[in-house]
Amino acid sequence: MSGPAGERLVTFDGVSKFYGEVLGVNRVQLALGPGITSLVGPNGSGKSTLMNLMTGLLNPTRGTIRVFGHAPADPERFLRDIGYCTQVDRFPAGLTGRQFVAGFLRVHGLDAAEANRLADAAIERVGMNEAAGRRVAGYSKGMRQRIKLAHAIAHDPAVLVLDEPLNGLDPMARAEVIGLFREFAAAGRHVIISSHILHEVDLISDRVVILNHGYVVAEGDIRGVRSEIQAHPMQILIRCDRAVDLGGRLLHEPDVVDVRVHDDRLGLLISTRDADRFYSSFNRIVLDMDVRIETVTPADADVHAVYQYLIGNEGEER
Amino acid sequence: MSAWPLWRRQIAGVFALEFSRRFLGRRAFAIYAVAALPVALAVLYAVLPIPEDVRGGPAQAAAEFANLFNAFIVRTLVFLACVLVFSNLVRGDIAEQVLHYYFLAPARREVIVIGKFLAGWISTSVVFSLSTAVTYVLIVLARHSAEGRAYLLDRPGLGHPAMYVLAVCLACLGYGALFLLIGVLFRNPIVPAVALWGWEWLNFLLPAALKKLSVIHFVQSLAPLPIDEGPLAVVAEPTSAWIAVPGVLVVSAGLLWLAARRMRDAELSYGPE
Repeated sequence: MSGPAGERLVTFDGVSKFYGEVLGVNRVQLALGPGITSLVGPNGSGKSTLMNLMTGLLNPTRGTIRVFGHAPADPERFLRDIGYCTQVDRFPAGLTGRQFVAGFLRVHGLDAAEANRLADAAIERVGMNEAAGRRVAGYSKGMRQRIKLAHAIAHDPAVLVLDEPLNGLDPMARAEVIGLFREFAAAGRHVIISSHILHEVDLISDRVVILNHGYVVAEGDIRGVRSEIQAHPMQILIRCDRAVDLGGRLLHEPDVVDVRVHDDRLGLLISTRDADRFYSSFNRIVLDMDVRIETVTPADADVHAVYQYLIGNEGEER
Repeated sequence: MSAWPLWRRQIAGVFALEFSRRFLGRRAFAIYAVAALPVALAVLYAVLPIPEDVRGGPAQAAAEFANLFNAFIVRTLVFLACVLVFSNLVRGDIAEQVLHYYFLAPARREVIVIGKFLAGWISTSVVFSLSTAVTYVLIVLARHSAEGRAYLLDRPGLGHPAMYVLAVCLACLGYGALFLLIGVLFRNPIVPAVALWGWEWLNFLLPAALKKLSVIHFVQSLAPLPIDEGPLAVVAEPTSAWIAVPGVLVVSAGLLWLAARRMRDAELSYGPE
């Protein structure tokens, strides 16, 4: 399915999934474009269910799912574009890393030579060359995570779905893997990630989908999501030379609800109900008062703050 | 464009993977050990001292093999091996949480079922055909080498072992399709497998019409020598090979179709949620 600009989309149209009477996800309406999309939510919020639905491992109770217009009922087209790295840390017994990746590439219909070539390329990309000839059973957690990633990317999918892909990786490997995701996204592909690690989500995501108790509670780019949370005024951090004077002036602005001056008197934390209007009046005030501004940054327009406001402390890991 | 070339390659891919996982690794040891049992018995038969007056000729040895084939090789060993191999093709992968790797490949679930089944069928057929042929030759030749060689090469010739091999392949086909379906349908395939084992063993007591609802009836029909099933047995006409072979093929295809249909709608849910 294509979007307005001919964009290829992963779409959920009124999708619900129930496990008997237990809710997995309910009435999900999403259209995910290229770039990195993070699914964020506490355990049991429906992240894995959503991922299993978009890869055809689960069937929706209601609604339809399409990947580039293809339905799960047509697996030859639907799955050709999808690579999925699940959370499941299990592998077919007795296989080496290379046999694992190449073996499942042959199930795609590739001949042995092509499967081996693609497997070697994917294994190299995740930095597993040296261990590829060893049995997966002897791998460390981080190596298993990377060989799963090689399996997911080996057929060069346009949609890469990753359920907690950073689990078990050391900081160096995390940085490499995040670089790989960015490379994928920069090439116009879809990277859909679920992660508990909010600061990493914040660093890499182009947009977030926040889930709680099976419902999508917010979605979009993080600043857009933040600006829609009316219950919590936006916080803006300002570093300047005359913080007290500026704070006193800003308190008279109708959109400003709170001003706190830093102890060093060189900074302010402003709370406002309308950031856009605040910024436009702020520019005028700064010019009028001739204040020297060092920095102006949103203090709570990140995934962590949005998560806090929408969900609270449930299942959070920083 | 026809989808057959793609399906053929995908089936070959599933076959290669299943074969290396199940028949080249350590877990294959049980199957090879089971298949080696009749050969071990034949070796014992060859080396244990038997009085001259009860030894008989190669024809008697062939009759003894017929009983061994019916009671031990097919009803016990092939049956158990098929339970072990085929019920695990799908159920084992679900238990080990690795079936999703197949489901994530852009292949129809039907193609995956066929590839898995073929890997199981060809492997068990080859292993038990070899075991059956070697056991037959050892038993016929063991105590009467010259007469045995004549029996084996001239009259009745190699037709007998060939029919036993065909019967083994047919047994693996029928039991294989049945246990693959059972593995798809049941979380614990052991209970239905035990019930089926009882049904197959009691086949000789069943009326002629019910006998045909079993694999062993058609396998027995292919055996070149009749066996005495005892005074309580209900005697029924064996089914001709021209009906038995296509009949088991058609029923097996039907069972595979049911398994594939079930797999097409199957869901896998992993992870903490």
